[in-house]
Amino acid sequence: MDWFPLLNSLRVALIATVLTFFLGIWAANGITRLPAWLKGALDCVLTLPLVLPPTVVGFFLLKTISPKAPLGSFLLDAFGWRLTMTWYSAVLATAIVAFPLMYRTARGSFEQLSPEWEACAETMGLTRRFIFWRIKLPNCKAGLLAGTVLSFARALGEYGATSMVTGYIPGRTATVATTVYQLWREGNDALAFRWVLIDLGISLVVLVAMNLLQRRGGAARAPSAV
Amino acid sequence: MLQARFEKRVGDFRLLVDLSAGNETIALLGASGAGKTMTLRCLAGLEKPDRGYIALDGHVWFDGEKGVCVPPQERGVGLLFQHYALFPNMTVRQNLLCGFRRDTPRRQRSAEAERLLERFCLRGLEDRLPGQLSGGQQQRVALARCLARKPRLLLLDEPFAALDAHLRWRLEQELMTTLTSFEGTALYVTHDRDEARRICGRVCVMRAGRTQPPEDVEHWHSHPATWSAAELAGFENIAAVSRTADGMAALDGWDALWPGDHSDAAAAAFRAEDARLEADGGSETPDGKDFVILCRIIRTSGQETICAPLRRPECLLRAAPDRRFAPGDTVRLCVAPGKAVWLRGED
Repeated sequence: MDWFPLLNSLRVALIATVLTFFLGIWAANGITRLPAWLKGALDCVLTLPLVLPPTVVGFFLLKTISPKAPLGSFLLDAFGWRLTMTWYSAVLATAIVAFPLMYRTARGSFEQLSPEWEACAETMGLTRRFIFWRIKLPNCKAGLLAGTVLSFARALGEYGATSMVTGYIPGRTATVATTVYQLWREGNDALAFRWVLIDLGISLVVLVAMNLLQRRGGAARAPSAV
Repeated sequence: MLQARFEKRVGDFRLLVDLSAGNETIALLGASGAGKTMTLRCLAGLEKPDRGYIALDGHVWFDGEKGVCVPPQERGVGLLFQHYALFPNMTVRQNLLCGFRRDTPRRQRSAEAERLLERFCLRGLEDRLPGQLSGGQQQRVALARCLARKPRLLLLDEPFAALDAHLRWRLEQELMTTLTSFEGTALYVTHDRDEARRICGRVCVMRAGRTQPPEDVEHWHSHPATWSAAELAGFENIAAVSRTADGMAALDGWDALWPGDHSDAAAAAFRAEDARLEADGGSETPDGKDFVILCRIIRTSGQETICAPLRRPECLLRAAPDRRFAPGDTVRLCVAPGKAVWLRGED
């Protein structure tokens, strides 16, 4: 059995999760300081990939980064980067689809922090950097971890946008999700079943991990949440 | 020396503060929603007033005209939050260490942190997280953390509101000891007049976003000037003066005529503890010495007696407890003229 789809899926999902982790937290923290109208507008844009069909995300991506689109052709000419039909183009598609999950859970965690902590830290002369790294982040660890696991799960299961941007090239862009579809189309049900079982196994592990994280996080937070 | 004179609008609410204080503990007293916490936040630099002036010991923190607004990090204020705002991810010691000025050398910080742990009876708790402390211990940590940077202005936002009643008394004694040795201005926000009386020398009353001129707390307590001041000072019985003539003031609310020249008074008030009950002798002005209201007892308890003027049964008066009478009895409620307070109209 060729294990490439699994390795590729894991590779794509891991990199996309790392990207969404930092971008999601950065966006969630930055948006709190914006004026209300801008906050509302940006929030809509940042959450959009969650409600749009992934194929629409894929369509937008193709219209911007494919070698036929202005940006895509510029990147190809100037740097030799081809952002479609490669394994790393899946990273881009997956990161965009998974981003809102990280962003929204991170924002929810930040909003649950007592605003008094930040105010108090400011009167104590603590810097913005210190407040973010030593007070805000540690106190929403559980929420951020849950958001990360959720993004990873979503990234691993991404099909629509990925298949549009990377297609299905065995040994180069194939992921578990696109492989299952391809095998079903070829009528190779036996092999498709094996991949389905593998995917089920991974999903179960992720879900159990998330529940454990949330339970532990909940217990740790309860007494301190004044 | 704190000088603050500023204005801030938040929606329909208008905050108008005019307050100066020396090295003393001064109470900022008002009902909830009067703007006390907002005042503290403006002084600490967490909110920016629309216009005005704030200075401490000659250092200008805010000047609307010159566009000066020193950020909270550089004001060096000690702000004790109602819920203490201890950082839950840090131990008691780490919380304390956060409180020092940034330019304090590391070694000096830890030495002073140890001293603070000692002084605030936190030995043995230094490695605990705030979630593992009792409310009283949390307050001590928060106060120690406030004092770590040796502030010249200490702002205390209802420090006992989050504590059980039985814990308060002891902690109050501790806080008073701390405040006595504190060199600077302490502003004590509270809605509890008794607390203000015990802890503070002067009181600044706040009502609907406006500060009243600070006055001596005992004088304020016994001689409130206006109806709202009397309410805040705990006068249970207040009625409007409807007219004055022939040396008598008519109190319609109680249907009583009280002697004396009170032509400039808008209302009269007395405390329940100053209202004595006597068996009804028939006449309302027998000896001419006391102010008298003829009443019927409604309810009695060990704490107070509730009664209603005979001709105004819908109006309830509160008098000192008196177990000699039972509900339904007719009594004379007597107030010594010295104990009644005549109030002027609101500003």
